[in-house]
Amino acid sequence: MPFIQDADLMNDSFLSLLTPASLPMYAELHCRTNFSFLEGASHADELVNQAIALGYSALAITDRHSLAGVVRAHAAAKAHAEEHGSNLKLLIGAEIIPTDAPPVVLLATDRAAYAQLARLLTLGRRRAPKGECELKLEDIAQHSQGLLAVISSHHSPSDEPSSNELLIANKAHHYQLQHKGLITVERDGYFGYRDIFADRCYLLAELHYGTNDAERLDQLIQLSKQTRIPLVAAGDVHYHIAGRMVLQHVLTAIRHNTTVEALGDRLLPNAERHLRTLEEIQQLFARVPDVVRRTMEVADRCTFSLDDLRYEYPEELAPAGQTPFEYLRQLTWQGARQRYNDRVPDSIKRQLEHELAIIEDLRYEAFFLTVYDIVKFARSQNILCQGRGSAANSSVCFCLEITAVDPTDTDLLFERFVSRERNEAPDIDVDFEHERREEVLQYVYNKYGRDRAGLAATVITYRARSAVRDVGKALGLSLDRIDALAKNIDGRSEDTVLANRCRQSGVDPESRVGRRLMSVVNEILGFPRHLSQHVGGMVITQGPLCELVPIENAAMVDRTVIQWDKDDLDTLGILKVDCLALGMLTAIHRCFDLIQQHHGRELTIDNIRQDDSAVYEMISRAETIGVFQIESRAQMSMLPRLRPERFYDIVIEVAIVRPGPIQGDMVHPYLDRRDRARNGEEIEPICSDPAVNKVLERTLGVPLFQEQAMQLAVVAAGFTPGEADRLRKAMGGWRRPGLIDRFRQKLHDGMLERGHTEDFAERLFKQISGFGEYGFPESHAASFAKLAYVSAWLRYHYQAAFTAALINSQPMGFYAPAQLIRDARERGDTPVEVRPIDVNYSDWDCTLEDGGQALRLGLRLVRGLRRAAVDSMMQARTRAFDSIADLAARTQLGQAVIERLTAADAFQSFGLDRRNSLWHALDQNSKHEQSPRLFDLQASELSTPMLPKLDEQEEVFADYQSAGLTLRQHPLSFHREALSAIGVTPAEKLVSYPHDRMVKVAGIVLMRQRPSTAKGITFVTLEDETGIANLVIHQATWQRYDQIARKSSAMIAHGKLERKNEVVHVIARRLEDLTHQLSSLHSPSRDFR
Amino acid sequence: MPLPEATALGNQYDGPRRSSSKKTQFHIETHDPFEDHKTLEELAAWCHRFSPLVGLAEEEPAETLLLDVTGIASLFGGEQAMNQQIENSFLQQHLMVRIGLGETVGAAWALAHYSGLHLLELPIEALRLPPAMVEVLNRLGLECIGNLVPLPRDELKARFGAILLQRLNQALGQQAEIIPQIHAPADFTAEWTFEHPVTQQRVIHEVIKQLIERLCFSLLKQDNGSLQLSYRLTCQDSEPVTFEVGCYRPSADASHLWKLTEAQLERLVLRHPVICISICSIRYSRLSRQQKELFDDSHVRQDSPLVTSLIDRMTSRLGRQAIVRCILQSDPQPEKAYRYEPLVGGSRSSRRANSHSPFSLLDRPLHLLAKPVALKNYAVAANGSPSWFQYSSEQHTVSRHWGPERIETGWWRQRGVRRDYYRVETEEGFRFWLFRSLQDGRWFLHGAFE
Amino acid sequence: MDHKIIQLRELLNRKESEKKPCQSISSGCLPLDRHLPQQGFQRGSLIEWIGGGVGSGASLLGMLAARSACRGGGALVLVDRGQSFYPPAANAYQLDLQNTIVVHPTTEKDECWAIEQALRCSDIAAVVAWPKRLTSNAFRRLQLAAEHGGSLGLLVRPTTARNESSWASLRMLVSPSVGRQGWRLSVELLRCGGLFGTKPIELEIDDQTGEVRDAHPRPLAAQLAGTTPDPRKARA
Repeated sequence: MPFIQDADLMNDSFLSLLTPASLPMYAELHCRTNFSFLEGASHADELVNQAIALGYSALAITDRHSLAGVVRAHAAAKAHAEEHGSNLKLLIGAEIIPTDAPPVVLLATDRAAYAQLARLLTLGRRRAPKGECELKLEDIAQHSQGLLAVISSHHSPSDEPSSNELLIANKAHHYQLQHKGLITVERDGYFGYRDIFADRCYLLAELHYGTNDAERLDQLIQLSKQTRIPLVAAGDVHYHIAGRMVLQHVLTAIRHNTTVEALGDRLLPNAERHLRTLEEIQQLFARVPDVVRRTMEVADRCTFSLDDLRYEYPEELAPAGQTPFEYLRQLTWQGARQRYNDRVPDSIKRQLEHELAIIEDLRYEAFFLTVYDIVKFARSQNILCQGRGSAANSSVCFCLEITAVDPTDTDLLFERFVSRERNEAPDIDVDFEHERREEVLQYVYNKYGRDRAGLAATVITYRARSAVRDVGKALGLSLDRIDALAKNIDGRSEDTVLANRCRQSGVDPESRVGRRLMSVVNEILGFPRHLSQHVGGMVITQGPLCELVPIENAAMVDRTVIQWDKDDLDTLGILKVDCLALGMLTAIHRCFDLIQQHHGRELTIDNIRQDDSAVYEMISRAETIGVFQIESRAQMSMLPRLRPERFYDIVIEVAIVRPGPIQGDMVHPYLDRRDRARNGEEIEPICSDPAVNKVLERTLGVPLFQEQAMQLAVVAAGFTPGEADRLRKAMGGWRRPGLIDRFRQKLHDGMLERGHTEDFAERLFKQISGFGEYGFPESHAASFAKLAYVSAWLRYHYQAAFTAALINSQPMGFYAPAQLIRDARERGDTPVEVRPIDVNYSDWDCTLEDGGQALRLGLRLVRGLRRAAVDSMMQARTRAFDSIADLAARTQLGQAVIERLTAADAFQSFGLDRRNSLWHALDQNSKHEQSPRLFDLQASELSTPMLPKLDEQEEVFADYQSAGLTLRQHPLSFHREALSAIGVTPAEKLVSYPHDRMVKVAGIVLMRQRPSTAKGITFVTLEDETGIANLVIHQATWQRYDQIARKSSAMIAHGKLERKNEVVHVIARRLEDLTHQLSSLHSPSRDFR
Repeated sequence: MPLPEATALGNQYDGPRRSSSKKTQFHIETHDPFEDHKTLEELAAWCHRFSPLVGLAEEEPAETLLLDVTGIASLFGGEQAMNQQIENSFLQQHLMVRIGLGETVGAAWALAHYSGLHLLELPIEALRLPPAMVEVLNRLGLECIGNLVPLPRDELKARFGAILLQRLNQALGQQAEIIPQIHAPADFTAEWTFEHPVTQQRVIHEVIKQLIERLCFSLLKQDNGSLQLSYRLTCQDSEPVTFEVGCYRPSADASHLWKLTEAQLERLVLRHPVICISICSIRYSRLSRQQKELFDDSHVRQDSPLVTSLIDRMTSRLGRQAIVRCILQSDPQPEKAYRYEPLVGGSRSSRRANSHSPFSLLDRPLHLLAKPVALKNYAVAANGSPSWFQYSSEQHTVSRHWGPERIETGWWRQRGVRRDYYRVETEEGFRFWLFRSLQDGRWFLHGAFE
Repeated sequence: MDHKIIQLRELLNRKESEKKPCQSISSGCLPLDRHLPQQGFQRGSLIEWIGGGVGSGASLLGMLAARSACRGGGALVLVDRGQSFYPPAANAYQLDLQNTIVVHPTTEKDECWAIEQALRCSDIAAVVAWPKRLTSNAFRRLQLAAEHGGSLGLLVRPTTARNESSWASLRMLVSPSVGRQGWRLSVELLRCGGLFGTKPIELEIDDQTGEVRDAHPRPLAAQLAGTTPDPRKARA
């Protein structure tokens, strides 16, 4: 693709000299990106780059009823301009299909017109169901100020959402015209637009080698004369190159929920919807060159750029008479006096002054006040929350109680997160208790109003699995085959893996269908499929939000979502506050409540001592099941090596076991250096450059945090902070191989220039690419470390309460209730007594008994039981129930509920086992129908049917089936003899075995975890009656035993024992399914004997 | 509709890449529960050779044939021999069968589905109970029929309703059960055996006429009409001659059926004397339950018996595939834009209203070549349109053209097309439809405006 | 109730139409009608177009006539031995394909038989066929069949048929020429009742709308005066 590199050449006069005089200047006015979901078949940047390559002067982005793609196009055009000096003008617009007029492309001429467009789209989107838009000509008239209208006279078959039949509904002669691809709508429609837009009105001439192009053009010319609306050329662009036709067809099929083959005339008949060369355009419109020239007239009338959007903070944050900054300063000092008991140390004073100066300088006060306000509200509602993010770990935030991490404790300096030169929006995420976050969101909506606050969008994109599903269907594969294939595919799959998966699922990747599937799936990966709401990114504006960006309905009632995602907001420098939900906060809050109730001790995140050595010792032993962030297998295997002794060690622990550092090969160097540092050895600097060493000083020369990687790019390779940030974004998110390669080159060259070795450059690139998506910023790590420490502290001191709180906050964390219970019961020094579910003692939640020492399982664990039923039962439980009949009579619970309770063995206090209680429960139905006679009930209760007794093993399985856990024996224990006979080692014995020994272990699969490291290793944890065994399964093994590895709930693993420090793994080489043996004993085989 | 992968798989093995000696043949058919049931009914009818009382168990989906063999085993030489013989008869039809012989329907059903020596040892499922009930019983630890026997009946009834006791009693022979009977099929055949071999056509025709009349009489008696007649002419010293006659709708009209037959007979050459003629209506249906009309359009003389009989006659003489209706397909590729469907025995469901045309009168030619003809001699003007071409030894000079109309589609088929179509008018005023293949640049004639 | 009434009315209509077997049907092309005795074709007769070969436009006129014939009800039969008929184009003629039976005979004999059978059926409105050769005998049988069934036989014939004898009530020679606005077809009535050798009628089919009009619209009187210049000569 020939680029004109020199910016000087690009001014108009020069250009006209340079290009052959015959070629026209051209602006494409009608172009969809893939944000016209399932319609456009190219990314915005692909379109932009292609338009530049073809020498277009301007390109309009006109997605259907949407501005979701414009920011990406804007960013692409800007980046191209910066790097190559191109000057493609980007026009911002949208295509609207009113219900009572021809489709029209609206283009924004200036900021005010843009506001009108955003407002119009908001109006249409808000009144229609999610994903749709409903507008009338009248609505357009009301929002027409400053907008240019480019009217379409033609419906391509793919244009119309399948349900909208407005044009077809008309009379017979209409039909014919429409079907002949000629002018379709009554002239009234055109006059309607002309009346509204007057001279800001154009008529689209779009030719695509249809059946009657010449006539069509004649008719358009005639129509233009009649209506006095000037004709302008355009391409109705659906994709950037003709090669995307196949993908576009597939997308159309997905949209219509059918196969490509069945699409018929809903299929575009050729590949002409691409960006065409200027020669082609000239030739197409040779008869009416004016039509092409006029595109430039339209483009020239549009002066709006997304850069014109200026973000304004809301004003009502400070009380009247006070500027926001004054108010922030006042709050900060107030808070400081409270935090430090009126004796604020001088160092803190200096730090606060320093931070406030920066805040004032960068005009961030409103942002801090916004977050403060939200946090204050949460506190007032007794909702636990904690801030994190680049700006959160500041002394100011500490004093405003946004965070509990004192930055001076951890040496987290403010400038590391907020820099003067990088003028980007500060970032504070606030985590709330997951069950109460909605209250916070509603507070924001209420305070600022729905027209000023909205949730950022998350763009749901095609991943391998969803792509295979949709593309497979469109290509006409049978549903069960697609199902098999989709189930076989992980979230992201590389090409070769996909081919293998196809083969495994019975689709030959070499066959025609297979090849087609693979190529389309690869193209569609990363394509946006729909907008969803961001988990909590709130945008709040001073003016109406809907004039900044269109707002549409979210799937959830009472939720609205804007059309931009967080990257788009970042690009445009628009502030957002992330209000996130965190299960651990719920658990901590519940734990605090239980402790207060049973131990009378009032705890907060702030008042827990941070230097409890017993807690650090427990962490170092990797006894961290249930502890926030450091409970995963990978984390647990790291803990004994890292042996944290102080808070910052936990910060590092949290950050180090992340895909980023692991992928970047930083873990082992760090551990080595740390071990040596502990032994008092001198740690050699990483390189000769003192600036580089300074960046890495606090992590012993190994970059562990995202900020460090970015700083290195600046210090070692000469990136500007802005470039470093773009590099980070390029790494994550979208698939852009080309883009990353350019950065790689730049980094490489920059580093060699500064005297670094090639090896170091390559390593740094690897590290940075690991950080892109999966690295932790230091400030996040610090906030998480705080919660990790607090939860560890609770686990150590109040394990019964901690376990109950965790179970009551499910689903969350890595471990199921079964493991949490087991962990609590087997705690070395002081095991927790766990009591079974019982209708007379259990509440919905798990509760504590006997002064907080014993844990009573809650009815929430019973599968299929609804809360309302339990609540009504608890209400009726004014005195203990004495029989099932009594319970049934007093609670009016239905048979189904009682059966669930019998399955959970919840009638033990009546002396009834599962089968007997079920036998009684079954009787309740008929009893209810007859008139209840008490003595009768008594009699039936006493009858002892001759039901076979459940044996212990059957009871265990029944426990698992109804509650997912058992307080009886471990299921594996029933098989120990048989397992020993084939040489299976109990898990507890593994510790005493030597390195490199071949072993067999068996157990229930507790979890499978595949950190996104390049090596594709999977960690599997097996549990038997003696403990847990950690398996490491390499990719080759995983694939060889694919079905067992992915699906079995119990297995035997053969492999080599590996021990490092105190960590013992089994490197699995062979897997055997155990599920069958375990379950066969439970349910009788129904096979023919 | 066969599974595309399966078809692809089939194609793949045909492909030259794997020209191994073994060529795998695929036969793919979609599951059709209705057809299954029908076949089962036919099987039931066939089973009348073993028992006068045959039925289908009432279950969903039906899969069990019930035969009352009371007092019959001795005819076969004992129960074992009877079972063996029944099994063999099924095997000869390439059907696998499991046989359970019991005192009661319930017991026999149980033994056929769950093999075991004694009824009481069989799992609860063998009682033909709803799966949900079986599950509850299993949860109570009641897993085989024997477990139920000692339990108090009234308490069982209170918990599981009457059905459990009914099934239990039926299995144990304490409650009678009726076999829902399937009747043997009506036999619509007629046969004539000559005393001496016959060669005269006139005689043969006369006999056939009579046979048809006899057949129609028995058809009419049961309000049936024939959809398909099968003829079998047994000849001396030779293979029998057979042919079939199909109808568009059921008919018991002897003269109509004769006309259809006559059309076939006209083309039949009998080289050997005929000994015996038999005809059989192999497909028939109720006369009153007539099939849907030929034409949906209300202003047309719907249901016209004349048109129907014309269709039958023409189909009978020219074959089913030669009398067709057009179904337009909205496919951009011209030759895929329609398909033909036989009027007799066509699938009725696929009929869809032909929509208004997307084209005007002169956009598409009335005359389309079955296969585009590659042009050998031609010239192309600067703008890419053809300036002259030669077709069937005549040279045509193009004076006007319309196009190109670009069609790039069908990539999902074995061969996609990428073509630029031109409508051209020659100096003499003849009009043709040409295209240039964008794949290889060759020119083709695809049709002519007639 | 309503349904019954409609049925009754249809029945009456049918009876009515059967009474007048010699009813004329528009040729589907108004300019042509003007030149025909009784402004159209007669039911129960054969119409024959002799075209100048592939691409000459004779079938087009046949289709227009077929469409017109089917307006009054009745099905259409196309006997297409060459299997070159292209339904999507016919659909553009607004021919009702739902109401059309296509027959694909393989031999000349079967072709002739099928045409005859179809013509003989009185519920068939028209039969379109492209027989290459017709013996005088066969032709006569077709004519009798048409007369018997009261349907219209529309035969499109190759140039070679011009010298063969014909039982058609109307025989036309169709040859294309170059028009300005659309496609021009000149139709020469070779036999029309007792008339022979009138001047050719010039038709022009609009490329855009498909409308068929007289290439030289003028009063009927002038036409009868026979002042039409031969367009081919004029061009030369």
